Amino acid sequence: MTVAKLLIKCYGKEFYKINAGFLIASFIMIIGYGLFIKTAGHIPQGQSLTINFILLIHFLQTPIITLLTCFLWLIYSLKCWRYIWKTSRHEDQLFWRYSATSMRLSRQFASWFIFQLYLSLPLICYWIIVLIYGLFTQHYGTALLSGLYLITLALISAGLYLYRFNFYPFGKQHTLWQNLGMSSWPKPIFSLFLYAIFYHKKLSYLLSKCFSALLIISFYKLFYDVDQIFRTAGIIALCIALAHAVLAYQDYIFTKTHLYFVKQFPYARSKIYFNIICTYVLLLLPEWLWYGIVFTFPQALFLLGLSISSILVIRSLPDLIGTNMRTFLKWVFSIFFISIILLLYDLAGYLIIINILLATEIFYRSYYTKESITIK
Amino acid sequence: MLQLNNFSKHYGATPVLQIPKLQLGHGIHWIQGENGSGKSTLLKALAGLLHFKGTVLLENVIDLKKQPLAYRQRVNFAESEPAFPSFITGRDMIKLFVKAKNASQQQQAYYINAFNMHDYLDDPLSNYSAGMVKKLSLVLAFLGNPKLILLDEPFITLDHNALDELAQWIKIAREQHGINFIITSHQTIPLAVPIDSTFILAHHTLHLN
Repeated sequence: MTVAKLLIKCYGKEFYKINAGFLIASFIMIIGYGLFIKTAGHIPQGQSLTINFILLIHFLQTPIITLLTCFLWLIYSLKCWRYIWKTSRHEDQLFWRYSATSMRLSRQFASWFIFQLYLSLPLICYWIIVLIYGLFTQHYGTALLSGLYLITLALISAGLYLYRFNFYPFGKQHTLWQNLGMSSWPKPIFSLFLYAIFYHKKLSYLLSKCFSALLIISFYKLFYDVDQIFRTAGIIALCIALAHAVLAYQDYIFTKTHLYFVKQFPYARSKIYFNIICTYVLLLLPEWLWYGIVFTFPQALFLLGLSISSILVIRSLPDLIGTNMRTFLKWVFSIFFISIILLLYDLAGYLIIINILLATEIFYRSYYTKESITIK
Repeated sequence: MLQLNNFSKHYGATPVLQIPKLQLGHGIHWIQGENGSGKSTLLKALAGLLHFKGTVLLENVIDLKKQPLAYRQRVNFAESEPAFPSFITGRDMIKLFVKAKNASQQQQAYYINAFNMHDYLDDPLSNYSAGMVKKLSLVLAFLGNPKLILLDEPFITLDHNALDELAQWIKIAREQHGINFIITSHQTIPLAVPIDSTFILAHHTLHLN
């Protein structure tokens, strides 16, 4: 138990701290799917309680949703594995190799199992709700099987951690990208965050692009026959910007922690800002292609402008409000809803101009003197 | 060479540095101080990486805040423990700095050879030891045509040969190219480095030793 407590202290709390944004964003996306996309935004009066359980019903009654949820749990476990794998490489974690590893393997396994259950608390909470609901609706099989699945994931995780700390050599290993020779590719400043994504933020990127794809599919399935098709596309473009909010936040943190040396370069702020815009033009390349295929060139350019200008505002937010993820997300959603209102009043053009002016002003004022406009 | 007026730096409400007036002449200046005395903060502020209150003038003409590009063309910095992106290679970092600081290929080749960095220059920085990263950051600080180089704890983590080499670089840069240095170190500086003045950083300010 003592080792499990130490593991939680060393790795567990940090894991939740690092992934707070991911968890909050996932929660909002799932609730958003259940309440808005699944119901097409129409919630009949008096049925809000039913809608609240819509995900649970689907989990228990629809095999595809059950499988999808199990897949998401697997992704979450992969994230845990990756975190431990990566953190265990650090020099300051070397002490585990000559302390806890002297214990019997069975005791180590039990400690890692408890530790993994701690990391899986969000999944366990969801499963308990499902279980209670399953008992009421007599869907015992799915509820119990999903519980077994969770335990199996925790057991596999414990086995992997045990292997990592007892049998896997300590030190830095070559990654897939290094083996592909990516380290010799040119790396201009605007590309550095894109490389960082491919090396360290693949899951965030994948989730953002999945959300984007979901939005584009919903455009075809739900809104393609509406009258104001371009206005609807504008809303989708805004949602695409929202889907990239966590990546924009990570870009900000990456720039502050690893690209600070760029500030030493005798480059004008306009040049640095242009590099940031290039990063997002490349990041949104798949969405840009979709705009280009479905709409005319000026319309596609307009939609790209809407997405990028919104992302630039989102990226500039930490300069104003600090780097607390919860505060950041509150602001992101506030800006998103204000932008939606402007779009509904056909003010998209003004929105792009306001976004560009706002993001540029914040960048220019904060690049050298960030502290002067920080609100804490 | 460098003039500080009403210079102050706070972290939140805590004062870290308060230097009402300081004039540094041409030469090599050694700043000593205990851990946490603010040496690194001072150099980061002088390098333009941290915001501060007051003015910093280079050669009585170039104001760090008013002429940020001109200042950065003339001032280079090697920090104590760099945190460069782990996926980038040493060669990538050198290319970025060569372009930004307008350095020549010969200059780049000279420093790489002197530190014998060829074997690992194309590896990502995640594979570098602390000493290798330190060598890289020192090479980056010497690229271009600086008038002032700020070196934060340059002698830690270096092997014996590299220490001698760095001391020679500083000496040659000062004597042949007139480059000025501000070096922070709580260790003794190698005798080969001709120090012109020594300062103690204590109680948030600099005192001439």
